[in-house]
Amino acid sequence: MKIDLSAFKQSFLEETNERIAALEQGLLLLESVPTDSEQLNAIFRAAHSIKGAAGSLGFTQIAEFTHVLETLLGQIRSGSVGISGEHASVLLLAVDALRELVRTVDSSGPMSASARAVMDRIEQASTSLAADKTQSAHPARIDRESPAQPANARQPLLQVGSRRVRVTVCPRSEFFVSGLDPQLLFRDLSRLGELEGVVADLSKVPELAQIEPEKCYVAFTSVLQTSVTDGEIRDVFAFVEDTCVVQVTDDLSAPVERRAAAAAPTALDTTQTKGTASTLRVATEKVDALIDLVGEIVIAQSMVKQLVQSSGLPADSALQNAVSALEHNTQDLQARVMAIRMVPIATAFARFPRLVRDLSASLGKNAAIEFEGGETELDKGVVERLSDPLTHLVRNSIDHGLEAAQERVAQNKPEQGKIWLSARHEAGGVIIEVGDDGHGLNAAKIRAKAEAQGLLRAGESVTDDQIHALIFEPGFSTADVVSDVSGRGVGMDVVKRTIDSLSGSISIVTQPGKGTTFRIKLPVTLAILDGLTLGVGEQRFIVPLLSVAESFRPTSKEYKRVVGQGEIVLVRGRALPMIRLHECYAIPDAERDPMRALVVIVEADNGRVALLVDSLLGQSQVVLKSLEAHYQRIEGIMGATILGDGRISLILDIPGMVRANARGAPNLKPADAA
Amino acid sequence: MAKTALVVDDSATMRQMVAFTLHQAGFDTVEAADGKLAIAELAKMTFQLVITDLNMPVLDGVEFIRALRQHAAHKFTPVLMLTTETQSAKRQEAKEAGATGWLVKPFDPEKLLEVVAKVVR
Repeated sequence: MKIDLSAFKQSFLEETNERIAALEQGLLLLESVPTDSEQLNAIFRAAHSIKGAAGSLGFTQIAEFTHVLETLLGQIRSGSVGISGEHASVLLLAVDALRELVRTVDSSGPMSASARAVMDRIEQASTSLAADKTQSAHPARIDRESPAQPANARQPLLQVGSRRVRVTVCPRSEFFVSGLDPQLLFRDLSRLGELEGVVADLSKVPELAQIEPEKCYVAFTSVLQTSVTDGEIRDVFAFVEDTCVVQVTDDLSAPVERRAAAAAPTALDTTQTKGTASTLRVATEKVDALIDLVGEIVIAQSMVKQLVQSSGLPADSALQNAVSALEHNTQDLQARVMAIRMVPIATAFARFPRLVRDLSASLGKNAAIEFEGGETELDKGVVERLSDPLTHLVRNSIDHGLEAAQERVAQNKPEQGKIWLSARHEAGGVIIEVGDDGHGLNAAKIRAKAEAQGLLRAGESVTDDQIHALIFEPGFSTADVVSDVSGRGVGMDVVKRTIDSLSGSISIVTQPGKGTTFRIKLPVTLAILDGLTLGVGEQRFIVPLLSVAESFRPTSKEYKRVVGQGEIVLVRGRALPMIRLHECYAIPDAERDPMRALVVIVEADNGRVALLVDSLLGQSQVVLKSLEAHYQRIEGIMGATILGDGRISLILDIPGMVRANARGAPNLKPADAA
Repeated sequence: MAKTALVVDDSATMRQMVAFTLHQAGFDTVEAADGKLAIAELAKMTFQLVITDLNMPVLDGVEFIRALRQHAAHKFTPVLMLTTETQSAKRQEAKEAGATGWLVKPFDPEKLLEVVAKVVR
C-alpha cells in the first residue's frame, strides 16, 4: 500500500510559516535574555517540528536546512551561556533563508546558493561550538547520535541457510505496562519460518501472595526453523529490546546478547508554554461565506420583524414572541460568527522587534520597542491591512522621531530610545497607538515646508493641530536627507488613506522634546457596523455610530451663514461647518430650514462637522456590503446595506464625504446606486 | 467496533498525516496538540493505540506517557513515540516511562502501519 501525503502540503506550509515567525520572535526575545530556557526550548521545538514535517512530506531542502539549524539550537540549549550575539545574527539569517525555502518549495533543483551559504555558516557555528565543548571540561549533557546512521544499522547482518534457532525472551517485570504483549512477538516470529511451539519458564513466578498482577514473571523459549538472518529475527524484537532480554542462539552455542540500556541523564523538557489552545484551521473563504450568509439572515430577520410589527398583532402574541426570540438568536449567531474572524493584534505586532532591530542598526540609532494590549482582538482583515501602516509609523518614529544617541544623552534622556505599540478597546472601537519618546513634531519646520509646497498660505493662521495634520498630505516630507528608510514619497498620506479605508481615523499627540504618539481609532470589524439611520427626504443614510457626537435642532442663535465660508452651527461656542446632505446627494423634498430640521455632529479628520438631516430613525447593527464589489468605489460612501423594510441605504464615510464636499466635487446621485 | 487511536503532536500537519495513515488501516482517531490535552482525552474514552510526539509544549511526551500509565484503562495500551534521531536520550526516558516503541521521523506511513500491526491486537 502506497500512502500519498501530498494533500497535507498546504497545511504544512501554513504551519511552517507560523513556526518560522515564532522562531524569529523567540530569537529576538533571547537577545535581551540570552539564557531564557523557556525560549530556548521554544525555538528548538520550532526548528524540530519543521524538520519532522518537512522530511515526512519529502521537502528535503527544508528538512536538510532545519536539521543543521536544530543541531546548532540543540547545542546552544544544552550549553550554559545561552545565545550569543553572533549566534543570534546567524540564526536570524537562517530565519530569512528558511522563509525563502518555504516560498520556493515547489521549485526543483538544488538549494539556492544563498540558503546554502547560510547553512554553511550554521554548520560552522555548530562545529566551533562542539570544539569549544570538547576543550572545556564540561561533560555533554545531551547524548548525540550521528545523524547519518540509519536506525537499524547497529547489527551486522549475517547470512545463513535454513537452520534451527532457539529464541529466548525474558521480559522485564514492567513488560506489560509498556503496552507489550508476548503473544504478538511470537505471532511476528512465526512469519519468519516454522515455529515449534512456545515454552513458558515459570521459575521466576513468586508465591501467590507476592504476585503483583501487572508485572511479568514469565520467560518464553521457542525454536524456529528458518532461513532468515539473526538480524531479521532481532528486528522482530527491536521494539522490546529495552524491556526484555532476547537471546537468539544457533544450536545453543551463540553468546548471550544483552544490551544494557545506556540511560544518559538529561535535563527534562517540561517547560510550560502559555497560550496553546486547541484550534481548527479553516479556509478564510469558508468563514467569509458564512458571515455573508449570516448577514443575509440578519436582514431577512429584520424584515420579518418589521412585517410582524406592522401586522397589528398584539405585542404579546405568540408570533411576536417567536420573532423576538429569533431576533435574539440571530444577533447571538452573528456575534459568534464574527468572533471567528477575530484575531489578536499581536499577530501584527510580531514583526516589529526584528524591524526595530534591523532599522535602528542601519540608521545608527539605539531603539527598543515595547508592546501593550497585544491580546486585543480585531477582525483578521483589519489586522492584515494594518500591517503596512503600522510598519510605516514605526519606521517613521525611529527615523524621524528618535534622536541620535549622543543627542539624547545631551538632553538627559536615556541613551536608548523607546518606541511603543499599544492596543485597547475603547467606546466600541479599538485604539492603537504608535509612540516614541523622541523630539516631537517640529511645527515651525512643518509650517515652513508646507508654505514652500503651497499647502499653506504664508502667515495663514492655523492651530498647531492643523499644522501637525499636514504631514498626512500627499507628497509631504520634512526629512532633509532622503534616508534609506523614509522620505521616499510613500508616506504618511498612504498611512492615512489606509486607515480611512478601514473606516478609522488617525490623530497625533506630540510634545516638543517629549515625543510623538500616533493614535489610530478603528472599528472592531468591517463586516458589521453599529450605525445611526438618518432620514433625508425619502432617502435613508447610515453613519457609523463611532463617529457621531451628538444631535440637536439648532436655534436661530446657533445657526449662521458666514460670507465666503458657508454655513456654520455653533456648538457650545465653537463654530462647526454645516453640510447639507440633501444638497450633496441632490435629494428633493428634504427639509431645507435648519431650524426645522436636525443637525448631527460627527467627527471628521480636522475636527467636527454638522450634517443637516430631516430626522433620526434609530440605531441598529447593519451588515456592510461593499459598493466596490458590486458597483465602484465612491468617495464618501463606505458601502451599502439593506434595511428592515427592504430598502437600500448608503453608509457614509464621514471623513471621505467631508473631503469630497470641501473640494466641491460632485457627489453621486442616489439614483446611481439604488 | 472500530479501534480508536489517540494522536498527540504539537504539529497539526503531523497529526493529520498520522491520522490519515491510521484511517487507511481502519482506525478512528482523536487528536491532541500537547500532553495535557491528550490526558484530557484519556478520561473521555479508551484508546486501543496511542501515537505521540516527545517534544511538545505544556506537557511533553515523556510526562504524558507517565500519566497515561497511571490511568487504569490505558495501563497496557500500546504507545508509539514519533521521535527524531537526535533524541535518543529522551527516547530512553520515554521507554522507562512506559512507551511501547518508537518510530523515527521523517514519518513514513507504510512503516507506521507495519509497526502498528506489531503492537495492536
